[in-house]
Amino acid sequence: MKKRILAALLASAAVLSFAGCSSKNDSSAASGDSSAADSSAADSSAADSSAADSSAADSSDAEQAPAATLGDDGDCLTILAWETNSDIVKMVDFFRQSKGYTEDQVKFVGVGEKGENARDQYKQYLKGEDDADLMIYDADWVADYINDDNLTAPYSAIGLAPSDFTEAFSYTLDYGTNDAGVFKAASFQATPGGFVYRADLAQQYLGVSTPDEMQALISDWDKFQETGKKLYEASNGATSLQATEGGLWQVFQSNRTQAWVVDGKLVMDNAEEFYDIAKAMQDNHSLAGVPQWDQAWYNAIMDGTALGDFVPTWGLTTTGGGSILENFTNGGDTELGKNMAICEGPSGWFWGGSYFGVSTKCDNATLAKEFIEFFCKDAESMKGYAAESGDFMNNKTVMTEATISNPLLNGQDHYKVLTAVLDKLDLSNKLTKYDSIIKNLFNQSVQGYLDGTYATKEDAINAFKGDVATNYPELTIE
Amino acid sequence: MQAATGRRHKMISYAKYGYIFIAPFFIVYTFFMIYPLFNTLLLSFKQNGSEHPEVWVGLQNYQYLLFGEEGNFAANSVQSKFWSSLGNTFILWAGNFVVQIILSLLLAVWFSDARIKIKGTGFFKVVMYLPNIITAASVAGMFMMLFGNSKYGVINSMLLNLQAILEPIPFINDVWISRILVMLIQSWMWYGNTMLLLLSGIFGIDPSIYEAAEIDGSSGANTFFRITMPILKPIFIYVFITSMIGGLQMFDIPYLLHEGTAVRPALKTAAVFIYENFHQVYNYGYSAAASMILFVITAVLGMIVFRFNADSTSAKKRKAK
Amino acid sequence: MADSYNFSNTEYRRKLRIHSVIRLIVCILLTVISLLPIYIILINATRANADIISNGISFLPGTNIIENFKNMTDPSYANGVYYRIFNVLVGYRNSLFISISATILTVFFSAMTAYGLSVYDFKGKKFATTFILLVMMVPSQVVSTGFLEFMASLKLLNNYIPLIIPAIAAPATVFFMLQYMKSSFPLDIVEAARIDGCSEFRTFMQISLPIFKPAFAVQAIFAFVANWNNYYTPTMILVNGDSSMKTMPMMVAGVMGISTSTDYGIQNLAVVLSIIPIIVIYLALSKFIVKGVALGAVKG
Repeated sequence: MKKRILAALLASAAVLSFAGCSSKNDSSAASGDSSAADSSAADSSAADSSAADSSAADSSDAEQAPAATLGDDGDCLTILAWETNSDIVKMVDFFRQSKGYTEDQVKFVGVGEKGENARDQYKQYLKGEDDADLMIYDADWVADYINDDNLTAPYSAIGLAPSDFTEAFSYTLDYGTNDAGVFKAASFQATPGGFVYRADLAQQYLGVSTPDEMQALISDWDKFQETGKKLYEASNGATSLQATEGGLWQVFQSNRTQAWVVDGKLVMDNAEEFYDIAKAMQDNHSLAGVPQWDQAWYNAIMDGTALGDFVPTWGLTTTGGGSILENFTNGGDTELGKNMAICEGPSGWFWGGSYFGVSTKCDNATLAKEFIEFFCKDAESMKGYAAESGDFMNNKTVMTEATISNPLLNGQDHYKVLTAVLDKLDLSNKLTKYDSIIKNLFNQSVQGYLDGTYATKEDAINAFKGDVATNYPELTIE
Repeated sequence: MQAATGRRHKMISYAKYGYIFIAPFFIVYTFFMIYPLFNTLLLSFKQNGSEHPEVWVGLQNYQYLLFGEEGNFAANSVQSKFWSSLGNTFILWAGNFVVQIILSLLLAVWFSDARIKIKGTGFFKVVMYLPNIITAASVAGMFMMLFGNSKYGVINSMLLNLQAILEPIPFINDVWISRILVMLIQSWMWYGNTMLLLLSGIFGIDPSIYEAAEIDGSSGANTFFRITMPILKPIFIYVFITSMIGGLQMFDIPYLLHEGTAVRPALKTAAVFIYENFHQVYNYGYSAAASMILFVITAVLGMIVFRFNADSTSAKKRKAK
Repeated sequence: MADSYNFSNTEYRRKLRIHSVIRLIVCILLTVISLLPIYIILINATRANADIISNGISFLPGTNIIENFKNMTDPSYANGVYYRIFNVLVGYRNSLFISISATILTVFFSAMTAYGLSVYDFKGKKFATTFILLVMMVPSQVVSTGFLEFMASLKLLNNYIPLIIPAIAAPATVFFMLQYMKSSFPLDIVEAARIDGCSEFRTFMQISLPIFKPAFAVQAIFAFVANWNNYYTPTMILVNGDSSMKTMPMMVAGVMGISTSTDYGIQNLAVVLSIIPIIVIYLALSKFIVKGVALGAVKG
């Protein structure tokens, strides 16, 4: 069947190839004519590409996916992604090569410079007349999009159900399901993280020589704090266990027993505990308290002010460009990498990630389904892509088999560690569309408590509740 | 008197040119801006949240922002946040304005002073404007590096090395240090801009007036207060009003100057309030109402300044006639 | 002062010299403060990422600028993400086109509007002036979203028109020109030109505009810088990802915004490249902010 679809697509592509998979739309070409100023600056390809959209009626008569309700007469699978998303380029290339599609059949459009911008800019893009079949959502705002039926179609509309993704790590499926229980987004990757630390200092001050021994010292939150205290004393006040509050928070927040909002009510759950943990760690200096994404962060690890921090999959890459681990090792110095190691840490968690949603404008249901299956479902192709890209794929089988030797972690295989982290993560029934904002407000309030903006924990909690109430007037807050 | 009527007669016959000259502005403004203005006005009367954009709530958003509501936690929270954002805005603007205006006026006078020539005036004029050409994001990044809270901040590490301090100073986390920092950054970014405006005004003054003053033996201060300032007054009013408008909308630097994940509470300006309500969550109603309130505040203050000034200029004109 | 001039010329001169030295010192100090951040960015653009991270600020240039540029334009470095987003020539072309067009429109039409409001007497003139003052005070947040929505409904997305044409109506610039005319525009010139039989439009173009020169130059600089650095509106108008249409700040924001990694050397280089054209334009225009233009026009 796949071959027949392919043949049909190739045939239609041949007919349409003159039009290409243009990134220009009717409106821009048309208004370009009305303004000499505009057309002179615009790309010269504007003129010949305006025909692309009008020929959409020419459909490829391939078999429809059984349950698909979205159109299938588009000529090009268009995937929206933000510009700096480095995954999508590799993915589209790999997909084209493996499946024999041309640039006119599968393409991505860079909308917005970074993840945060894409959230607003997709909406603006969709107001225009350009094509959009699939969209990449950042984990931060995936809930925004899957809870809006005008923006995102359910997976069932292209003939996919959660049961198709049995090999996926379960948290990603929870993440792609909206508040009404409709499955709307799947991810090709999982983004767990571990505690990356200076093994040489751990050896010197804590007497541990392997990541397993280190893990035993920080396997729950009590031990984590205890070890922090011990380390600070053993190093004579030179070294704190944890570099940033932000990293601590990322891990802790995956730890809840209930959702942030249940029946329209804000639920604090174990959140209050974090104020105490963070404050105690700051007070006994097991938290260095440097800011994330700052030179101070990287320096704190390099000069041993902090033993380590929590780093997710995408911060462990070694392909250049300054990943977190590369910056911990002075720009990817493998000599320094010999001193680094990774272990699981106190609880299961993840950080970021991106998801594929189906646009309600989608007119390439079959191809969209094929693309998603290729990267999010089929073990064979996912294995191939993992080998090509070094990504941590969202597939248990693939990741159990995969191995890696990270030169900046003294050759350690971080896949093994991180799969174990995911085993400890359970987010079912704990996610709502309010989460990303509430989580951030919570973190802000904790930061305010630590830096003295709020004198007491009660003040900080009240400020947090006030923030939530301001942002979501419809929620009940006690 | 006769001359005046004659002039008026002439002007009437040229009236149509007045309309022609101002037409492009009004056509373009109406076409592009009237819809957005009304859109915001309407939004301010509607309920918050993307799910019910069509529900009218009358003046409720205004009421919540300005007065809160007895026993309504959400309304009172948003009220206190809005008022504190207004307070922050005024503090940050006032501090920045004073530094900026004194510095730029002083420089403008120096650079235009015929008696005391400063070597390299051209060079200074160029260099002092440069802070204004860098985007706020780069500026904020730069100052964060210099004034980082931790011991890795450039200033902190210098002071620690000199043993002037024992613990790093939380420049960015401290309420007043961070505010002063924002005031100084804003002044730094804009003093060259203001200086150029004032200079262009001074250079527009007919030099023969100065020559006359010098022949009369007028002192520097005297010339400045008796000649430069009165003639410069319209430009000065312009600087004051535009700085006020810009100040009330101050956004970039306060929004960007933080090391944690959140804008510092002491730096949350009204514009930041508006932005966050619009973009982080879909509180379009609050956002729109807050921006309308900001507009009214600006307009009232602007009109006060202008009325104050218009009276004295028309008086001057009468005198001149 | 007049007395001292007569009594003791040398003491007066000495005073002047002291003043002049004090002023020079203040100016040099301000120059250092103004230049320092730009200098640091410039220096950082020549340093390697690792050097910046581990050594912090430096006042001596590094040797990595070519390497940084190579990495920036290398399709394989960091998965080619820098190569994809930052194309300096395309950025220059687009930003220059937009900024220059918008600047010319702003300055010319603002002068024209201000001229119309100052020189002529007509019904509704007061209302028009008040209207301009009032809309000048509209916070940009009030119109921003509605404007973007409106442009989308007019099908003007992915088009430079919304970035250029609205520049014709720049209330703050009109206000400046109005104030400028109040303080330094001799209305007699217009009368004189009429007596000479000059048409109204020609009077404006050939006689009045030259008097505006300092005001023009200043406002042109401001408008150019504002347009060049404008980031939010272009990102929301040019949404279809066509990299051949992207402006410089969009590219810089891309380099800054790579969420999974940071290469400070490349980031600083991107900033440096993005400010070079503004400096050039500024140097060219600042020449016009000179003394005595009004006088020259009256005499000429």
